[in-house]
Amino acid sequence: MTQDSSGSGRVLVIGGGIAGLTSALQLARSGQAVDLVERDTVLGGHAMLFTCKATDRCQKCTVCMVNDRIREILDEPLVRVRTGQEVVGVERADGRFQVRLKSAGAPVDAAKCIACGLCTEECPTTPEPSISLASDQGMPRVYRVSEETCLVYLGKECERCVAVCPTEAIAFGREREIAEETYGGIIVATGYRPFAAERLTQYGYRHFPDVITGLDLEMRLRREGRLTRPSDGSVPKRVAFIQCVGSRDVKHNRYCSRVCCAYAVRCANKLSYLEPESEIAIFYMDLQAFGKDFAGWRDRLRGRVRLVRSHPAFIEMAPEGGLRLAYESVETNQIDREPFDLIVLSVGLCPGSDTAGLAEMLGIGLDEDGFLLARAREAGGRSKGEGRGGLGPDETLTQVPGLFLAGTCQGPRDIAGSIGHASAAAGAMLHHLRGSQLVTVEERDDDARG
Amino acid sequence: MEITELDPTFKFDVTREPGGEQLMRCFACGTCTASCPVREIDEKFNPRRIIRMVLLGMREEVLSSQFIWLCSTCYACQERCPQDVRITELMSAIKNLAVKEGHLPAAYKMQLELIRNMGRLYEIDEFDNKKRSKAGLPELESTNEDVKKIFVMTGADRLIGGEEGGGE
Ligand SMILES: Cc1cc2nc3c(=O)[nH]c(=O)nc-3n(C[C@H](O)[C@H](O)[C@H](O)COP(=O)(O)OP(=O)(O)OC[C@H]3O[C@@H](n4cnc5c(N)ncnc54)[C@H](O)[C@@H]3O)c2cc1C
Ligand code: SF4
Ligand code: SF4
Ligand code: SF4
Repeated sequence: MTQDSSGSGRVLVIGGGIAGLTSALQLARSGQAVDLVERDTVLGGHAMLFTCKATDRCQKCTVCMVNDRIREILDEPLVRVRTGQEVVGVERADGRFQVRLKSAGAPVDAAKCIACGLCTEECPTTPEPSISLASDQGMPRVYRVSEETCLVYLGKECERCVAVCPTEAIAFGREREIAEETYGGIIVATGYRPFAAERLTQYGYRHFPDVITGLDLEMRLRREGRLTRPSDGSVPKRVAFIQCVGSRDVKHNRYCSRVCCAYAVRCANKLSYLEPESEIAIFYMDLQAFGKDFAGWRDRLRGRVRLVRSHPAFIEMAPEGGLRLAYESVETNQIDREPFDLIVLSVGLCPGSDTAGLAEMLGIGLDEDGFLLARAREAGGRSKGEGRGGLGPDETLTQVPGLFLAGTCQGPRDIAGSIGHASAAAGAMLHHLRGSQLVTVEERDDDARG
Repeated sequence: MEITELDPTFKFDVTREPGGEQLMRCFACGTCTASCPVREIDEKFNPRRIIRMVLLGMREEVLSSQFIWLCSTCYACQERCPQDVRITELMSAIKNLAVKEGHLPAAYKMQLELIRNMGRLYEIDEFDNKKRSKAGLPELESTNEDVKKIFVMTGADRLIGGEEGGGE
């Protein structure tokens, strides 16, 4: 393999989630040198927060794939991983990109941290120490300071961790360094933001401790291996899932998020496996069964998980205590206020919070829902082939030559979909660097006609 | 019910009525019904079902029903509907259509007559005016000509005119 075989310099991949990891790996395997820039101190993006949904058998949630990709990336000589950095400026000249990168100024220097954990033992904040391993399986293995609870960030004196660190990896008030680099192309893989469930006030998220989001559920299951109630640590017997929270809702996100039916069904399945006595119900409008093996879930859940066709109206506290879910069963026309011990809001995917700023910096547009705009969609939408979420290479193109999109920054996708999309982006990038034209389905058909 | 009794144009009539425009967006999720305080005490009233009946074309059943008049216009459903169907306004649109097609319930008709004749919903007699003057308040007219003019101008007069108020 030769470094920089195309003669166009390195490629920049922005975002180290499953999409960015996939693009970077594909490019490197084709001999292309890559810089992978990730704002966080660890790689993996959202998928690193999720639980494996296997029972005694793998349930194909694909969450574990991200661990494998991180390991491969860290072993890949053509990929330079730059965690704790973000892109602050992009200039395009002569078909190349001048990029300014800024380090996030994290107190722990990833290059020096040996993950010994002495700092965590020393940290005085309770109940949680403010410095801890950034992610249980996250890589690189590095410690991270919580800006919300660390005494130094709260304006008090402490720095006990600084004194105890054997490699002098910790320093507060680090300069935010700026670096300039030139790249032959950029793949944007900055991902998404989960819907902020507190915006639907009728469900009382953040008000009722035992109303949690799908993301909270994933994280609790991953951390504890079982589900307990935030309020009292007990194991909930009656659990409800509410689907389409913030998705398919014209006042919030009108589109289907494509992942929440699948994760809710798999989590419900896992909960019923862990606690066979528990009563689990999924409240749905329609179950979006993407993927060829999804349709069988209804049968597999029968007798264990109740599927109720209804979008619940609100959650309330019963006079005698405990949560109650108000809904109409659309099949029986009956309304009910059913008690539950824990209620999960199946939140979907929204455009990342800084997507608009990023688009402006990169000189590309946003689609009508606020995701980064792929070129094919801007030209009046597609007449055939996939819409958003498809795998076609045209969904990775932007109006800027040499700039491509990968994963959920362009629209909702699951992990498998993000991998497919990111591979297509890497392919489009290689075509671009090697000067050959990528022919889209439309162009080919147009040629045939004309 | 026979399929021939269904009127496929009914839903278009409702969407043409101010407030009814968003009808077709409903995907029958049930949020409105479980939000509705009227449904909680009266099973006959179910906004989701009313919308289904309109979409199916059950013109007579809906317009001549008593239940469409039960909505308390509290807006609880409208606030939560994920499809922004604007159900409260839709309920008004359906009621307006019902009135246009001669389905004004007798109780409303009586109320309209009282308002037209007296300008208010209950009669002012000498006894009331005596009580008022004792309390130092001015006497009230037992009829109100301005309101009558308004009834003529708006056409409300015709709804309670000579005949029985239509096909109950
Ligand atoms: C609750 C929940 C459960 C889910 N469960 C499943 C499941 O079981 N199976 C499944 O297939 N899918 C699941 N999904 C969907 C899955 O999360 C996504 O498909 C996948 O994570 C998308 O990967 P991504 O790389 O596009 O984005 P992300 O995972 O969001 O990664 C983007 C990365 O880019 C970084 N970044 C962002 N902006 C910048 C910037 N300006 N500079 C540098 N770096 C930046 C971020 O820090 C992040 O690391 C679930 C989603 C949710 C909300
Ligand atoms: S995937 Fe399911 S829960 Fe998520 S938005 Fe689509 S239909 Fe709703
Ligand atoms: S809440 Fe809206 S979408 Fe749901 S059934 Fe009622 S009108 Fe239809
Ligand atoms: S506005 Fe009418 S239909 Fe809607 S919840 Fe209130 S009473 Fe029920």
